Amino acid sequence: MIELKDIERYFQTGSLKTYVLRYVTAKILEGEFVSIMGPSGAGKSTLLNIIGMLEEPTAGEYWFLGEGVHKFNERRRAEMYREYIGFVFQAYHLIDDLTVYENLEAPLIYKKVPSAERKSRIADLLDRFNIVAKKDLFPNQLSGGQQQLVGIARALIGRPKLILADEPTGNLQSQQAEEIMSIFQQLNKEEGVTIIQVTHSEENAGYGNRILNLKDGKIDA
Amino acid sequence: MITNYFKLALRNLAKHRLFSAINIFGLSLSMSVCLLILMLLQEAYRYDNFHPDSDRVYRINTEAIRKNGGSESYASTPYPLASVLKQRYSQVENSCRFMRSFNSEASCSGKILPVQGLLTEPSFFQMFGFQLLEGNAATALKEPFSIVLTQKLADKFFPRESALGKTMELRGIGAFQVTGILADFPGKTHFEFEALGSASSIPAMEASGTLSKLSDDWTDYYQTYSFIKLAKGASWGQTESDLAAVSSSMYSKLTLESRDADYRFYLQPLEKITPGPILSNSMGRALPAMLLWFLTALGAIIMLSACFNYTNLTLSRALSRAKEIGVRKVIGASRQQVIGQLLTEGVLTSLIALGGGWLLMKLVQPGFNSLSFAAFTDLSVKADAMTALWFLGFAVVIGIIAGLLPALTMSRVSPTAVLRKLESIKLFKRVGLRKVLLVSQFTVSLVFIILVTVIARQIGFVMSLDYGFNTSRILNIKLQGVDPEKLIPAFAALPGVENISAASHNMGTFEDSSDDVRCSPNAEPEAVRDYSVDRHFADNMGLTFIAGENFPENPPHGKESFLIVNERFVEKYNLGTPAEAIGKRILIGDSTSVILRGVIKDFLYKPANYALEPLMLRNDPDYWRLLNIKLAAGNPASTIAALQGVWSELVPEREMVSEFYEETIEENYANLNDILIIISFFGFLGIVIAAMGLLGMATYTVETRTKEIGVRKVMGASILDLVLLLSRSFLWLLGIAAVLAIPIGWFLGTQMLNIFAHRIELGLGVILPGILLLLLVAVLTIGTQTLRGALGNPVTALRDD
Ligand SMILES: Nc1ncnc2c1ncn2[C@@H]1O[C@H](COP(=O)(O)OP(=O)(O)O)[C@@H](O)[C@H]1O
Ligand SMILES: [Mg+2]
Repeated sequence: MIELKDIERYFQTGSLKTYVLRYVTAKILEGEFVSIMGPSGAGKSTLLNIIGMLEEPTAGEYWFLGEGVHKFNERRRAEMYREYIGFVFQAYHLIDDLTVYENLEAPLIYKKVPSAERKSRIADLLDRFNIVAKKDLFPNQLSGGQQQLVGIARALIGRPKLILADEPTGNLQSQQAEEIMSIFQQLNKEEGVTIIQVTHSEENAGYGNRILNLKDGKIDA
Repeated sequence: MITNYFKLALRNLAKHRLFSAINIFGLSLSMSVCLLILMLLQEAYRYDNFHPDSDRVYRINTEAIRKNGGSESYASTPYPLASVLKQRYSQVENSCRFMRSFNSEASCSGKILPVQGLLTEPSFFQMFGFQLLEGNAATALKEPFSIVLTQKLADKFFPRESALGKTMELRGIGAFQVTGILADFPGKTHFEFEALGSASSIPAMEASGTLSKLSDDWTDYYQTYSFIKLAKGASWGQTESDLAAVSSSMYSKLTLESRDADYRFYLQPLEKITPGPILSNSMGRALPAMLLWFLTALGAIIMLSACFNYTNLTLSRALSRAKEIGVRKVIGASRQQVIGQLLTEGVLTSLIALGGGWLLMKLVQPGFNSLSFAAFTDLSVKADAMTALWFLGFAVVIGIIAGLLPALTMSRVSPTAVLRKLESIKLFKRVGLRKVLLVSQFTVSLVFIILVTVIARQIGFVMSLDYGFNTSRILNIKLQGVDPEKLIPAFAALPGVENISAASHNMGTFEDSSDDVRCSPNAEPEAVRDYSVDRHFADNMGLTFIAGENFPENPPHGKESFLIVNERFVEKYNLGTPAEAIGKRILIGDSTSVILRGVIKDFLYKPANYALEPLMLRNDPDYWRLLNIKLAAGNPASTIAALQGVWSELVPEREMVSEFYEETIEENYANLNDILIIISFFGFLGIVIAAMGLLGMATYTVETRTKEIGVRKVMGASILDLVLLLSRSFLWLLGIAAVLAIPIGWFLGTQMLNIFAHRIELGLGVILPGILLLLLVAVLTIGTQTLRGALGNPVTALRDD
C-alpha cells in the first residue's frame, strides 16, 4: 500500500540544513498495524506527515497504492483525504464551532454522501463509541478522552483504508488510552483498516503488529 | 450542502457579534440607497415598451452645428424632413410627426382650461401602442380640426357625458371637433400630451395666421418631432446616410439661422429615448441617463466601501481561522468547498443586511422624493416578484463581492496549517491589501467631503452674489395675456406699491431670449440676448445709465425704435466710448432698425453659470409677459392681498400668479442644491461606513495585541506611548488617504466649479476643514479603542496565556 524509497527531509534555516530524515525506505502493506517509535525529535511526526501527504520529502520517492505521490496536485490530495486517509491528532483538532454530530458529518458532506446515509453512519459510530448523549455538545464541553473518541470517529466516518495517528493518546490518561488502542486493534483486525501510529509507549505499540524504530533520521532494522 | 453552509455561517455571525454588526449595519446603510437606485433604474427602463415593433421605430434628432465650432442636439427636426424621407426611400415604412404649437386654452361646456397638446398625423395609431377608448383609429386624426383627448382631459370638460362629437374652442387656434378618447396609456411613455390635434389642420392654420408658416420651412428645426419606422431588415446606417443626402440637397440653397453652420440628422431608437442623453426641446419628464449613471456610480462607491469593511474585517480574522480551514482540508474538503462556505458567510451577511437596507430605504425615500428632480419619477414601491428578485439577486452579488477576496485567500490555507503554530502562517493576513482597502475607503470619504464643501461654498457664493440689479421687495406677476395698460394704473394706485415695470422675462434666471444683431448693414449678424422692457424697468431694477438716456414714452405695439445696451455690447461691437455709441443705428433681426439710446453699466443679468455678455434692453410692448411690482418696505401681505383684489376684479376668469423675485432666483440653483444634498448624503454614508470599518480594525488590533501591551506596560510604557504605538499605523494610512484625496477632490471640485463663470476660489481654506473633520472622527474612533487597550490591567492580559 505504501512504499517509501530513500526518503530524505531536511529543514533549512539560513544556509544550514538540518536533516530530520535520511534514506528512509519502508514498505507498509494493506492490513498492517504499524507503530513508529523513537526518541523525541527523531522525526517520527515528520515521517507520518509525509505519509499523510501533509509534508513533502526533500528527496526520495513515495508511492501510495501504486501511484507516485509527488505527482499529486491539491485536488488529488483532497481526494485522498476524502477517500482513503483518516487522521487522528494528538491535539484532536476538532472544529470548535461544530457540535460532535456536525464534526462527524463534515467529512461526509465533503464526500457528498446523501443525507439519509450520513445519518445512519453517524448514528452507528456514536453508538459504537458510546457518545450518543454527547452528539449535540461542542468540543469544549467534552473531556480530552471524549474529544479523542470524536476525533477517531471522525477519522473513521469516511471509511478510510488508512488511519494515521500521531500520538493519539499522548494527552490522555492510561485507561482512556487503552480504550482507544483496543478500538484501533479491533478496526485493524475486523475491518482490515491499515493503521500507522506514532507512539512513545511500548504498551501501545504492543497493540500493533509491526514496529518501525526511528533513530537519527534512519530506520533501525 | 448549502443549508449546512448557511447553518455554519449563521453560527459564525453570532459568534463574532461586533464584526457582524459592523458589517451588517454598513451593508444595510449602503444597500438602502442602492435599492432606491435599483428602483430608479428599473423604473427608468420601463418607458415606451408598449409600442408595436418598437425596435424598428426611431426618432430623428437634429444636431445643429454652430459657426463657433460647437454643436447642440435637438429632439426636434424641420417639419418637412420626415415626409421627404418617406417619399424618397422605400426602407422607411411609415412616419409620424408631432408638432409642438398646440398648447392653448380650451373653452368648452362653460369651462376654460389649459390644454397641452400636439398636432399629429393619422399614422400615430399605426406606429405607437396608444389605444382609443372611443372613436375610430383609422379616421380620428384624418379630417382638419379633429381632436383626440386623453380620458383625463375629456373627464375634466365632460365629467358626466361622452366627449365624442363635441366641439372645443381653442383660443387663438380655432374650433376642433372631438373625434376620439384615448384609453389610459398601456405603460410609461416619454410622450407628453393631453390632446392630439389632426395635422391636416396645419394648412388652414397657416392660412389664417394662427400658425407661422411651417409646412415647407427647413430652417425651423424647433417645432416638429419626427418618428420613422424602418422596414424589417432595413439598415440604420443606410437611413442616416439617406438623411445626410436629403439635408445636403436641401440646405445648399438655403440661408441658415445666423448662428448655424450646418445640420446633421441622426436616428435615436424609440426605446432609447428614456433614459437617454439630454437633448434640447425634449418631450416628457424623465430622469436623464446621466443623472441615473451619476447616482449609480455614487451608489456603487458606497456599496463597495461597505464590501471593503467586510473584506477587511474577515481577512483580519483569517489567521484565527486558518486552523479550522486546515482541519477541513485534512478531512477531505476541496478548495471549492471551502470557498463555497466562506462565500456563503458573505452572502448570508448581505441577505441580512438586505432586510435592514429595505427598512432604511423606507426612511430615505421621503427625503429622496423631496429632491426637485424626483418629480420626474414615480417611486411608489411595487412589491412585485420582479423587484424582489432584483433585490435578492443584488444582495447575493454583493455578498459574493464582499466575500470573494477572503474566500480566495483563506481557501488557500494548506492542510499543513493543522500542524503549525498560528504565528507562523504569514501568508494569510494580506496586510498590504487591507491597507489598500482602508486607504481607498478614506480617500473616497475625503473626496466626498471636499466636494460637499466646495458645492456648499459655491451655493452660498451664488446666493449672496450681487447681480447688480434690484430684486428685493419685488413681486413679479404674470400677465397671462392681459394688457398691462389695464393693470398698471390700478396697481399703481395701491398704497403699498412703490414702482411698477413690465418685462418679457426675468433677468437672473435661465430663461433666455436672443435676436440677431448687426451694427452695420453688411456685418455678420450675431445673436445677442435681449429683454423687452418698459421705460420704468431701468429705474425699478436700479440700473445705472453711463451714457444716453432711458426710453421715452412707451411706443405703440410692434413698433420699437430705441435700444438700450450694456457696456459690454459697446465694447464688443466697437462702438467707441459709450457716449460715442449713442445715436448709432442698430439692425435687429431682418427688418427692425433702432437707435441706440442709452448705455447702462454692466451687471450680471444671468445666473452665475454665465459669463458677462452683451445685453439689449428692447422696448416692444408685444413681448411683455410680466409686471415687476416694487412693494413698500414693511409687511407685504396686505399689499399682496390688495393686488390680488384688483386682479380678480379686472381679470375674474384667471387666478393671479405671482412670486417674489428673490425666490425665483433661488430656484435657479435647485439642481445644485439637489446635488449638494445627494453628495452630502453619500458622503455621510461613506464616512459612517469607513469609520465603522476603522472601529472594527482598531478593536481587532487591540485585541490581538493585549499581551504585547501588557508586557510593555510592565516595562513602564506610558498610556500615551501605548496609544501612539497602537494608532501609529492607522494614522499613517489616514495621512496617505488625505494626500491622495486632496488632488482628486481638487480636480473634481474644479470641474464642478467650471460650470460657473462666477465662482469661489478653490484654496486650502475650502479643502482643509473637511479633511480635518474627518481625521478627527477617525482619530477619535481609533483613540477609544487604543485607549481601552492601553488602560487595561496588564496582569489580566498576561495571565490569559
Ligand atoms: N517546520 C520545521 N522547521 C524546522 N525544523 C523542524 C520543523 N518541524 C520539525 N522540525 C525539527 O525536526 C525534528 C524532528 O521533528 P519531529 O518529526 O516532530 O520529531 P518527533 O515527532 O520524532 O518528536 C525536530 O528536531 C524538530 O525541531
Ligand atoms: Mg512528534
